[in-house]
Amino acid sequence: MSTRSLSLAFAYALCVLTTIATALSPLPRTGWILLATAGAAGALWDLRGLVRVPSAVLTTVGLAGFFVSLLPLHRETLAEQSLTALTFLLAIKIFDAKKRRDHLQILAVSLLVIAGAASLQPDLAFGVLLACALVCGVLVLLWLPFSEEATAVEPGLLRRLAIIGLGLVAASAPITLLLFVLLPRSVNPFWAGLGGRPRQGISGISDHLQLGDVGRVALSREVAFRAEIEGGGPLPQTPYWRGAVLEVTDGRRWDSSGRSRPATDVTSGAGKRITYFVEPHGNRQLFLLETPARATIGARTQTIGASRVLQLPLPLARRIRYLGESVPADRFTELLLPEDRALNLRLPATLPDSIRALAGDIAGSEQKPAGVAARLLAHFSRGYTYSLQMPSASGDPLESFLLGHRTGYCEYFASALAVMLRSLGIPARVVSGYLGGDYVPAGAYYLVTQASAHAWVEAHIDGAWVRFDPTPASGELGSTFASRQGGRPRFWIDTLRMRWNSWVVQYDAESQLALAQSGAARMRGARLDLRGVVRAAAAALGLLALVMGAIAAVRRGTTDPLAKRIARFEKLAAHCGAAREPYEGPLDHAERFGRLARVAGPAARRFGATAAACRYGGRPADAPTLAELDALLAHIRNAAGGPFQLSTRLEGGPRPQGTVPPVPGPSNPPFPPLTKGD
Amino acid sequence: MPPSSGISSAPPPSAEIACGRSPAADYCAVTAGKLYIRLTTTGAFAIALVLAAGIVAVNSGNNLLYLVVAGLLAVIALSGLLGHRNLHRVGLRLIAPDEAWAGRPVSVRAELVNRRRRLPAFLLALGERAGTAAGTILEIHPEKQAEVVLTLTFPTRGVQPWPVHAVTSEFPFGLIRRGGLVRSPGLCLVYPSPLAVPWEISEAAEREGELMSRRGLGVGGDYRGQRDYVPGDSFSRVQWSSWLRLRRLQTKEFESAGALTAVYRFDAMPGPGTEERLRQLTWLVRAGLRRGRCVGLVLPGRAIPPGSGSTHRRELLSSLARFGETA
Repeated sequence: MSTRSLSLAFAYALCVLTTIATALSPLPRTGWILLATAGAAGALWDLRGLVRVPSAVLTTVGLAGFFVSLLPLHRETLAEQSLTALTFLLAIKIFDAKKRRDHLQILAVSLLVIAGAASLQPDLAFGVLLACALVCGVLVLLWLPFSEEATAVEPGLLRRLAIIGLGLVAASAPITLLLFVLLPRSVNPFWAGLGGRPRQGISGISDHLQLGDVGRVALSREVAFRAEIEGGGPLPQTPYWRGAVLEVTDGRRWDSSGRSRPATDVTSGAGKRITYFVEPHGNRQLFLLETPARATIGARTQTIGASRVLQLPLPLARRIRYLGESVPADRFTELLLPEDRALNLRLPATLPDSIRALAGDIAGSEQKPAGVAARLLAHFSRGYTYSLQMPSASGDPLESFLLGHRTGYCEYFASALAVMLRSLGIPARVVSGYLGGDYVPAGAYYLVTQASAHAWVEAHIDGAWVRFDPTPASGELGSTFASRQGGRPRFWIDTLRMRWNSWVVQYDAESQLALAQSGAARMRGARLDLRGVVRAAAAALGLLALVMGAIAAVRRGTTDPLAKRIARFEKLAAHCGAAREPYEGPLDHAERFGRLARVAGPAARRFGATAAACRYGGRPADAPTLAELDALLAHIRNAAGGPFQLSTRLEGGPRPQGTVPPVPGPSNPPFPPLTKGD
Repeated sequence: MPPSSGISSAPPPSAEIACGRSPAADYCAVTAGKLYIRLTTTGAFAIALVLAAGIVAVNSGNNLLYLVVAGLLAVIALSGLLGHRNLHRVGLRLIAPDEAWAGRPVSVRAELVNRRRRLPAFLLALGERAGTAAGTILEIHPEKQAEVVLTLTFPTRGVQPWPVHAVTSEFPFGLIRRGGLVRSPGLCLVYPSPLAVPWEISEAAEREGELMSRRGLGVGGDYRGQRDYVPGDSFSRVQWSSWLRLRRLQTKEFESAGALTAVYRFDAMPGPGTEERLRQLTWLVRAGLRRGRCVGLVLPGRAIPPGSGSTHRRELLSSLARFGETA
């Protein structure tokens, strides 16, 4: 393979990654089609070595495309326009000739496009693509200086560079994480609004509810939000996630009244602390488990109003994380002011009399509001069907539903019950939100999709708002993610997504502050535990010894007991100044060592003879032989540590030339002294 | 022209500074002196890119961009360490050429040595100064060396230290060029540049030399005289009659019947200056030896008897190169 081919391979790998990123992002489809086409054409050109389009033409076309993509500039679509322009430049560059400078430009623009696409939709997939692009980029950067100097790729060099590159990426991972945590965040990012236009229509939950709205989103597989329960474990009952309270109706549509006042009786008791991770949906509603008591977004505690819902001042355009505390219950006490009572009793002007009559019939002689509500609720369990296939009907939709086909979505049931309750003088309202969801044990959180969108009724009875859910088989709704989307493996993937979102995407200035405060609190509360320190030190030393032993074993390259003993013997001889020379056999070495070590000479010779017999003579290196070698080694070592010294050293005799290596010292350093440069 | 002060203060043994391979030649570590670090154009581009990404990340609050910036910073930081380690225990050694003449370009072999046990050294460039590369070596394996041929020109004669060279590397990413200015250990003996002498002067010098010179001892030539016998003299040369006269043995000596000798005198050179005379003597020595003569030199304070052969030639040229050197 030539160096040029390898450089091109890297360029096209980056192109493929960028094309995938562009295809996955909410950029216009022309982006990835352009990239893919340019990549294919460029590869064909490079492969065939055809005559290229003149650079001047390509530059002109590139600049023209760049400015056409950018103009006219809109604030809402600035990010998308910029990325489209970059995509155009990249396509031209892929198509163009490729020198080192071009490769660097391809690398830089690719990284920018992928990071930009990730900023528009910061999903886990983009994280993976980004990591691949970074690895590819590191390898490209490593290779490019070599590509200029070498003419052919040496496989060994390539392998070593790949190892260095991957090692560099692996080593940089912890530093990356540290920097990611420590790099300063802005509380109010100046360009926060440039992350693409807010997405609309993803959620079925807003401050109004048109009959049929929920049915439209019921088949959606989009994730609405995830709710991580502190302490883990699924909730004992199917959770109702409260979104919006709708009090004003014209018979076809329910709207929020817009009234807001503080709660008169905040729910108390053993609450569940739940962290919510809501996907951007373009509406102001946030979701809380019934019955919410408190909510905290970032460092700010939010006021839970009388309607027990949480709303943002602006539509939600980015993922958001907040903490809520709820007491699971199907009722909560709340004082109903006269104007609220009037509002929650108001009926549509066009309400057919047949509905009033039906409500009266069902209530019969029952006078108590709770009894009336129970009768009405029981009515919906007889002969009514929940279906997403609505039969066509004319006239008033509620009348058709109650007296005609008796089939509908949850908002038909909720709307009908609320209207019937109001017609009987019981204050009632519709609540929209989500029901149930899939509990993911691996992450201890509920995964709630748009398919779980739901509507139910609250009636004010005996000083409390009581929940009534008239939709048949409502308990089976929502828990459909696993069965619809591939079972448990999808849960694992979603757990990864959840962690990615919570740890990476939604890490902000407030998280940073909380982390610092938590660390400082731990530091303050920490006490010096001497025993713990000693234990930790012992464990660390043990681990270090194990690692060093393993390294030494690897370096020795053997676990053969005989080889180990021979190595020990040679190490001992080297220590005494009689290191084995490369040309020496074991017998010769032992003989020379024996000559020098007069006292232990016989032991050394015998060791050499025994070891050589085992290694080369077929003598088995059994336990007695190994024990004999150990005894000989001990004898030599004792002699070396005691009165024994090498004869040459003791007597200062001449060192045999060419046999004993020079002893390192100031006059004969192991590494020749290096001269200091200028 | 006086030789360099470094030589005069600590004159090395002649065997070590002789031209040709120096047995005591050593290596000069690249990291031993002041390190050279410069940002390359690619590096400046990369830093600008990271800064731009960082500004966008801070102002947009986008964590993916933060991740990109953190990753790039980490990789750049580690690449700095890797680049520094790439030069660790890497040294330079220049191997003296057979002959070097002042003012004339000479090819010198430069060895870049990797003294590390396990890690190769990559992308080493050797040049007269940082940023210029006379040669680039892609990879040097552990405990190996690689060779680059340099063309050097020494301006003056004498024993001279090697010129400073820059060993740099842009490894790993080409973002930063780092290295060191190193001077290879050892010295190089530079002969005076030969300066042709007019033929008449050459003839006169040779004639004068011939008059001054005597043929060397040997066989086949004229009778030269006699001296006291020393053990080992051939009995055929013993002057037996001297025993009767002087009561001691004497040995007869004869001139060699070999090549003519020529002795060139410093004072006989037209000059006008000392350096020119040395250059003219250099030219005469080379020409004389090339014509097969036994050449001798008479310099102020030193005379070298005539002789021939490469060792003698080296001695003559060395004495001319080192003329004026203080002990």
